[in-house]
Amino acid sequence: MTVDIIPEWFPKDKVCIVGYGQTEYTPWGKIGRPELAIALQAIIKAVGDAGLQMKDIDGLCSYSDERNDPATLATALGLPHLRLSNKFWGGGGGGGCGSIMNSALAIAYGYANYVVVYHALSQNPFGRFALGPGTKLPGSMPSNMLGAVAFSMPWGAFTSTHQYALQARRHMHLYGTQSKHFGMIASACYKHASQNPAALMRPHGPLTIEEHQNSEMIDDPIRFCDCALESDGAVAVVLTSADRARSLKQRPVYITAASQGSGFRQTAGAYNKVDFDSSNFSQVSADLWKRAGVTPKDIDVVQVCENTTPMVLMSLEDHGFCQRGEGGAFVEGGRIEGPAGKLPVNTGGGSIAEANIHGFEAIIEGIKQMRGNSTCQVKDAEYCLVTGSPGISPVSEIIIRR
Amino acid sequence: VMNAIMAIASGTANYVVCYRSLAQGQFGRFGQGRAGAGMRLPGAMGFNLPYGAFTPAHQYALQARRHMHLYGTQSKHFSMISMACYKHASRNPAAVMYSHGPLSLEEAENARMISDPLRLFHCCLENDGSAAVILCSAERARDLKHRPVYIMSASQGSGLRQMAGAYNKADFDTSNFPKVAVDLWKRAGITPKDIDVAQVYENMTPMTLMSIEDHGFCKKGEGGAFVEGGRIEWPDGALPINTSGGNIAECYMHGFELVIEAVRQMRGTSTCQVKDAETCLVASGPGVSPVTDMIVRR
Repeated sequence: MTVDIIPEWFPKDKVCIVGYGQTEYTPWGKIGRPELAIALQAIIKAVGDAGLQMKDIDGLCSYSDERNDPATLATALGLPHLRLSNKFWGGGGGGGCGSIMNSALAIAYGYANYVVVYHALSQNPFGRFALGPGTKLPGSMPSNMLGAVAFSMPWGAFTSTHQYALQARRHMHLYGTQSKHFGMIASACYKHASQNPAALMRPHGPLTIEEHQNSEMIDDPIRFCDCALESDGAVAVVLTSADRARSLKQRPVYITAASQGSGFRQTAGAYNKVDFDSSNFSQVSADLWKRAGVTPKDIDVVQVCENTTPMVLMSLEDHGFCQRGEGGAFVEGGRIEGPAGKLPVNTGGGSIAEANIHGFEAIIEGIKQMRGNSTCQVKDAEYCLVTGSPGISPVSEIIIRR
Repeated sequence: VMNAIMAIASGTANYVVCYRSLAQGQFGRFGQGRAGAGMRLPGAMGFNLPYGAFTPAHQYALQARRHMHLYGTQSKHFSMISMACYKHASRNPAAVMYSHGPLSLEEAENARMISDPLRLFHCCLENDGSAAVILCSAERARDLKHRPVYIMSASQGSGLRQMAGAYNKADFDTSNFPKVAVDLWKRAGITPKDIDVAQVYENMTPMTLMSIEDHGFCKKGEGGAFVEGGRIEWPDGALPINTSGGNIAECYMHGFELVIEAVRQMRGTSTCQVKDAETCLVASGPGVSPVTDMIVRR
């Protein structure tokens, strides 16, 4: 007989985020500098924000498609001793929180002292992220592919948006969710972005539901305004132990829980995966709440990397903020709008309206909320949930607190 | 394995599989030089590719030659490591080179040159296959069917500027283990003389020699003398290494076969079982960045 031998999640509240840095955000391909250069720039800023010296850094961690590996960065930065070189594996844009989680574990166990977690995107010349195959452009998929995609690609379903469109339609069919509900999520993002000078869509101002409903259909029922932006930019954060954090210059942001992983057979998209209208966060968030010792009603603000708004809606359900199927009603009436809604979501604009750095923009906005300097500050915000992209496998997430 | 440890120790996961698989017929031969129209390469490679230096063998050949120049290390020392691997593999029916039998110094020293001073037998094999291990907490392990193998310590990382190969990286004749090994010994609370058997990754055997030095089994530059006289050979050597044949003669599963052989040594089931072996060091790929290593015990 086996039992859960370890009752408490060891790293809980033992590791803090003590600095962050970012380059400007631009539309994809427009940042005009190499990806290595912008990664280094973000890291230098983050280390400066933390009040540390570069030689203090002894760990580097990133996720999925990151092209700047720790050893190259360490060499460029002149790190005397690298103790952690780590990457959260898989999940496209879903792994940012997973890389925070890996780093928190490593610091809690003394593998490394000061770890930088980073992500950089400069899509010219590396090519536009997530293109379908056969376009002969840099970044498009190779011609030999996994067998499973033979069941979707010949029918024109070859980007993740195609997959989410099917899941969105299923959710609408089962629960009566409507396109306007997806629009409400987008609208909240644009509202928050209109107050955020760093947000790419700030000049646009607020988004009306009418405009959302008239925006170009990308993949029925997903419209243009339901989709994340495509952006360039680099972001980095610095983590260290809570003990060390107390002597540094910024208010520490505590990592109180983290979770990663997947439910059953979640990459069997073409094979009739069982839980279809799912963000894949159900089981992963069960672990998260248990480790944090809090429940959804303790969360003051949420940052989620949207690939598309329907998946955000499903993610709110799967986290237990409302019942499965009630996501539409949940996002009505301004509940998710900051600063004063019951549960503000993506208070910087999210990847719909601020920038899409594959979830790292969400982490930064979470840090700002906990430090008290968000452009859409939730009053007395104490707990922030930050999740990576929903609807992929694996997914990852963290709860941070003041 | 190190990543799995922190996941299990923290209660993040209960049973973790660590694995490696290679089917190169499907995806292409590992470790080849870059080729193909439209490929984009890091700028640093502009300083070595045009001169024909584009595989790991080229890089390690330069490091080996430096070591020979500084310390008088000779090709025969690189061959002695290969000979130990073949000797051990000749007792291991699972080894790809099992039927070759022992390797003589003459055969190793006369084999064709791959990249001076590296000869054929100084280089690891190229194989397909897969290998996996399962880890769990010590408490859970006690209920399971095999003798548990404990992980005493693990380490990873890099010294300064180890990716600056084309830019005159300061510490050149190195496996990149010096700083990483310091953490390993400190965390284990033991020293090199407490190690009964070692699995030391051979990309090429000069790097294995440097890895042995950089882990402190002997002084820097004395690796040649260390591998003479059968010291690294089972059953009588003071520190048998790569007791199932290693990357040189068992198979090249990117070091995962070494992890499995360490488990066998601790369980007492190796085909070259070191008597009463209590501890085993596993050093993964030397001369790369980052590097990783661990110590297991009975």
